[in-house]
Amino acid sequence: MDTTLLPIDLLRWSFALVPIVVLIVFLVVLRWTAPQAAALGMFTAAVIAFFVFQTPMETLAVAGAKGVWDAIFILAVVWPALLLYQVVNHAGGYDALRQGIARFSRNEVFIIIALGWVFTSFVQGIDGFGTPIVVVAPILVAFGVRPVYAVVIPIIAHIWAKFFGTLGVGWLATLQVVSLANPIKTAFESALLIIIQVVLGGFTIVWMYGRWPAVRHAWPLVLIISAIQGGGQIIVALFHPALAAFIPATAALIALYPLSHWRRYAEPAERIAVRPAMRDDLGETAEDTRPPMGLTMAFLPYILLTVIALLVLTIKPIDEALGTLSLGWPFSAVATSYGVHNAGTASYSPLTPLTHPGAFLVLTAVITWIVYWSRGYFRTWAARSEVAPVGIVRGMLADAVPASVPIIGFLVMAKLMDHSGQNQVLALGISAVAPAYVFAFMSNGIGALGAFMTSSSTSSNVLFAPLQQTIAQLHGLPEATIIASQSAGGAIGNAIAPANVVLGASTAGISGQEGEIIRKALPWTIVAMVLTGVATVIMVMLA
Amino acid sequence: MLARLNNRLTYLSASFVLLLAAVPLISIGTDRGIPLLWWLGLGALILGGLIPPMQRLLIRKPPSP
Repeated sequence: MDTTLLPIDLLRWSFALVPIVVLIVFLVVLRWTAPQAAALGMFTAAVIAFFVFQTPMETLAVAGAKGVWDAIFILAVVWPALLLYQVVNHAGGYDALRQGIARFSRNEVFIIIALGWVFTSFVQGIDGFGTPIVVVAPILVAFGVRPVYAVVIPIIAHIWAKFFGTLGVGWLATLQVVSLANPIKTAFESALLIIIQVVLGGFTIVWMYGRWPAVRHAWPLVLIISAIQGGGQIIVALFHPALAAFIPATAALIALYPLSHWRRYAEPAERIAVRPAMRDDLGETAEDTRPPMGLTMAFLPYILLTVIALLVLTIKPIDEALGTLSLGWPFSAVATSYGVHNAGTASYSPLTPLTHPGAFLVLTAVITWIVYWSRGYFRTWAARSEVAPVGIVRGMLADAVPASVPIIGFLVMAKLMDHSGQNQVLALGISAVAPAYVFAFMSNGIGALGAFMTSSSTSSNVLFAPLQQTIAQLHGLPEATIIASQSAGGAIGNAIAPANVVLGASTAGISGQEGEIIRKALPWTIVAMVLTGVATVIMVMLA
Repeated sequence: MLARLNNRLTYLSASFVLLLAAVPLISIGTDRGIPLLWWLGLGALILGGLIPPMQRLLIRKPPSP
């Protein structure tokens, strides 16, 4: 992309920031619903692109259509995930999960860590596009976690596995867009910075559960899991970066078994009196209705999902055969009057539907439905529970449509800002005024900005890694450290990315409370960014 | 029309369909040089995007679930 004619000045930099400010203000402060705030952000970006960044209508149209297409990658997870949710819910699976998990361990902190952190990270190791959030949020709700926390906890806890997760998609995409002198050093330094997210994420979710008494109770467990996940990621990144999240996430999952036998975490934590993340009415509802299945059958979909994803993604011939089906739309080359060019393409961002996590979710939902139906779970649960079922497909539509519109709006806004040059002005503006060390401190913020707009650490790196590399060279900064900082920031920004929040809210049954979720995740995001910035500066000084 | 704007699923479904319809129209329109098509797509995109905020501004009472 040629940005040489793009004027970088305070006025344009301020205008480029306006769509993001509008989105945050209307969503978080004024509490507009996500579809309304997303649409407003989208139109603000378009108007500024047209009047300030001299973007022709055809370029706006192409950017808008590409944004909708980008959203399809997320929607392809949202719709099947909600289908699976409805299948499990209509069979009484979540009540079975809640009661079964409560029997498995009587220590709530241990279960919150096991489900909200370890299991979520494991799912992120193999599946991306928000799958961990939509899978784990309803399980946490079923366990008795308040819906807002049931979304915030998995979002924060799986951030560390974003960059190397989905079997290394983010890392491999970064290698595609930047030519690194020392890729292993970059992978190592990225894993080093991501340690902050691991430790901070673990302690934050424990604090959310039961404040300081919970932290005093759970700190040994948090440190052990952090050592396995964070330390493991650093070691594996040196040998096989594409597996740097999956292997330690799996190791942490396995470690839960011996840890569950530790007396400290086998019995209830009596000293945790205040539990803001938990519902108060849990005990009553758990006694009311006996679910038609046990814990193993309730966990069947998640075991199936893991097996299917692993089979497809790790066995090359299957992956290659399924990957031959590819869908993408052609677009002509477009530009702005400031010379921001986007080349034409015969197939923009092709989607391989059969290797996409959405396909694994659809297959899982279908098999689960067949198994539950053959065992009569739907009939039994409908008879036992007093709430009349709304129907699986109808229930899915009622959740999926309201979640889809804002996700499209966010991604269209991101693409409009990209094609009009607003993103470049934001990043180059920071670079122009910030001295080398200040830029090093802020580089993860640029990554976070990219992830906030696109809800994807991979997209953030594709968008900003080449720019960060160029700026690093101009400032004489070590490129490995700056790309590592960009990658760490790209992961952090997902914690408040509106699309992630919307899809979590939809599966937790709290659509419309997206602003509340962002308010809870924002402090963690800011602290993680500041600590990552400080660590980046130290690494630059030591380089 | 205003009554339909009061049903959340109905107006968001309309918005969703319009936003999706924009992709093939703009793609084919720009790729094959047919301005009418991509203008139609852009119109669908604008209309689909306008529906959620219009619902808030035109319908004062809270939407149905």
